[in-house]
Order: sequence, then C-alpha cells, then structure tokens
Amino acid sequence: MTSLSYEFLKGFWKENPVLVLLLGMCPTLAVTSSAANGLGMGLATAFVLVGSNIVVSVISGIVPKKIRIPCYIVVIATFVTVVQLLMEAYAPPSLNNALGIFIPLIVVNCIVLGRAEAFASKNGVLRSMLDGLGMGCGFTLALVALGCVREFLTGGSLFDIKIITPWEFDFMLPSSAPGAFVILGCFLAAMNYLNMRKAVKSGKVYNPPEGFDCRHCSLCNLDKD
Amino acid sequence: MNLKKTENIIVLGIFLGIIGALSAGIMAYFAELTRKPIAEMQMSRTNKALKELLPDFDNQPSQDTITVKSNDEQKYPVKFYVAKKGAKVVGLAGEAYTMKGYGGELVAMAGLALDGRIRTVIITKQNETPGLGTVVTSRKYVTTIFNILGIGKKIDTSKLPPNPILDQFDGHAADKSDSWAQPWKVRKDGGNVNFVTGATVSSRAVTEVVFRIASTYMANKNEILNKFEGASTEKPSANSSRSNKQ
Repeated sequence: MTSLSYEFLKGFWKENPVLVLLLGMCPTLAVTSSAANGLGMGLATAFVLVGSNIVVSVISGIVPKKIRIPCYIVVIATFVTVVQLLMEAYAPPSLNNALGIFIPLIVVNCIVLGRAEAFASKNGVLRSMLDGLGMGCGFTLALVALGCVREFLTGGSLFDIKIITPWEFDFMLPSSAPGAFVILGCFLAAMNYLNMRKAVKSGKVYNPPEGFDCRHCSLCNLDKD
Repeated sequence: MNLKKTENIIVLGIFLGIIGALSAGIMAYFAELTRKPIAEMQMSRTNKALKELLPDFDNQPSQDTITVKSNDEQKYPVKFYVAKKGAKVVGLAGEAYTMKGYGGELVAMAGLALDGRIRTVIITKQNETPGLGTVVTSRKYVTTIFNILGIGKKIDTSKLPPNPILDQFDGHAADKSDSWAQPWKVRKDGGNVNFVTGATVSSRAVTEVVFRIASTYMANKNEILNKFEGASTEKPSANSSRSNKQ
C-alpha cells in the first residue's frame, strides 16, 4: 500500500493527467488559449474530480457490477451540472462566456471517469479524495502552464496583463488549435527529457510508464467481467 | 441476494432509477438555490451595458422597454431600452441580433440619440473566431505591466475601450441626409464601412445588425417616442409589460 502523501502528490508530476496520462485532451487544447481560462477550467474539473471520487468510492461497495459505468456517469453529470449552475451564478461573466460549452463536456472528460473506474472504485474514501485532489491540481497546473505559454506567445501578455507593451498585433498560431498541439508536444518532449535524464543519473533506463495509457481502464473489457 | 453480482434486470433497473432520482433531487436543489443569483447576474450585465450606452438617466431603462419588428425582410425583433430624465426621453439603446456571424448568433447593442444618430456600439454576445472575428467585436482595455506597477499612462476607465470598427458607426444615422448610403455595407460590398481583412463575415454581420437597429428606430421613431414621452413614472412599467409579450 502506498502512502497517503503519494496518492496526493502523484497527480502533480509522476501521473500528471495531461502530461503523462494524456487524458482530457479536448478541454486541454480548446480552453487554454489564455491562462485565466485554463485556471477556471482546471478548478471546475478539480471540483468535479474530488466530488465524484468521494461519492464513487462510497457507493462502489453496493453498485452492481453490470451497471457501474452508467451509475458513475450519473454521479459525475450531477456534479458537473452543479458546477455549471454555480459558475453561471458567481463566476465573472467573461470567464463564464469563454468556458461556456466546455463545462458540460467535463462529463465526458476521460480523467473523471478514468479516476472513478480505475482508482476510486477500488480504494477508500480518504485515498480517493486525495487522488482526486492531486489529479485535479495536476490538471489545473498543466492547463495554467499551457495557457501561460500560449497567451504569452500570442500577445506578450499573462493573465490579461500585457508584459511586453510594444507587442501590438496578436499572433494567430499559438492561440488556435494547431498551435496548442505544437506547444503541448513541446511540453511532452521536455517532460520525457527530464524524466530520462533523471533515470540516467540514477543508473536506470527510462521507459514511459506502463499502465498509464488507456489500458489501465477496463471500459474495453466490459463483456469479460 | 448479493447486490454487487446480481444480473436480475429488474433489480438493476430499480438501482439505476434510485441513483437517477437522487441526483435529480440534488440538481433540483442547486437549480433552485442559484436561480436568483443567476437572474441578478444577467440583470447586472444588462444594466452595466445600458450605463455605458445611455446618457444620464433617472428611470430604469431595463424596465422601460419596447420591442418592435425590424424594418427589413427578416422581421427580427429589435428591443429598445428608453432612458428618461424626469419625464423626458433623453436617449435610447437598441438591441438586435443576427445569425450571420461567423460563429452564428451575434447580438449588438447601440446607444442612440433621439434623432437616430448612433452614440456607441457594443457587442454583447458573439461566437466569433478568437483573434480574427473578435478584433471586430471586442472592446477590451489593454492592461500593461506598467499599469499594475502604477507607472506610465493611466487607463481612463470612464470611457469605453476603443475599437476602430465599432467606433466608425458613431454619429451616423439611417436617414437620407447621412453621408453613408443605405443599407450600410462594408467597402468590399461597395458600401462605406471599413472592415477587417480576414474577418469580412464578422464585419458584415456587425454592419448588418447595427444598421438594423438604426433603421428600425428611424422607421418606428414616432411610435417609440409617443409611448414614453411625457408618461409618468408608473405608466412605463405597464407599457413594458405589454411590450414584453412579444
């Protein structure tokens, strides 16, 4: 059994949902055109993750195996609807406008269902909560980092504050979807490079982590249960 | 009976039904809880826009409204908010939409003087391409690092941020004496309105919707003004409830 702090901290680097697990690409690429959008999306997803992980770990003892996926989806959808209502009521209008359509789509974000199915349904409440919190924070950090780089390359600004004042005309590429792919690719390359260097220093060979891709999820093997 | 391993379809159905009912209850609770704040949020957004578009007023323009059909084939509804000082109408704001934006719906509000001259145009709802279409539609203060540190030029927050495309409508009216030929068109289509290269569709949509507001006001000027001019403070709310039926 791994320690509680590991369950929390793994989401930041070792099993970062965006940069290692490569889950939830739709919101990652779509909303990170500015750092503030990334932060809003990340926090909303983190809230849903923590809530759904707690509830799923509580009910996983009694949910019939045959219908566990629909049950989890209903739980997740409930949390997402609550987030959407709360954002409409209290979030700044500009953020609400920018995120608009992507908030309901958190329901189908692989991170949320992935953590519910792969972790929360097999672990206790406390561990699941920490896992959700760590994954949510890791997701938020990755989104903010991507958003910062994209926003800066677009117009020399960060969080809507212009850092380089003479930069008058925005670049199109970093703020559009193709640029998002390019920058995400650079992030992944940097991440792999750092991990590899670390492994070589300690005298090991670095292999991309096994079981961190879609194979950890048993959705494809439903009929074999 | 082991619930976890059951394959009885009726048990499964009932279980799923209970989960669904529980979550529906939670959602209903939150929907009720947030109904008022959401309505207030929308109200404050409209009021903020109206404050930017209208001259000084002492009534509630969001209550004193009239909706008329637009003066073209589409017959879109155009909503006018009326600003009054005392019993006198001092200005109006028109709100209209078009579906011809690059991202579909585009809603604009324009402040109008009583003679139909446009004072200011803002876009309240749009779906344009970020970085291209939004150049046409957005008014945004550029906050620089120097503003945060308190050195350099101060931002004048009493005025709206400039936008060369939206600002060019200021002072124009949809009547024959105006220097622009009717209907207003972008230069690419042989009109007088400047547009942004690469965002022609958005420019066209903005031009269309602003002209819709201006021309609808000109066509219905007397009807609108008669409805509100000289009326006491209680009467307009009765008027607005009638006009809201549309």
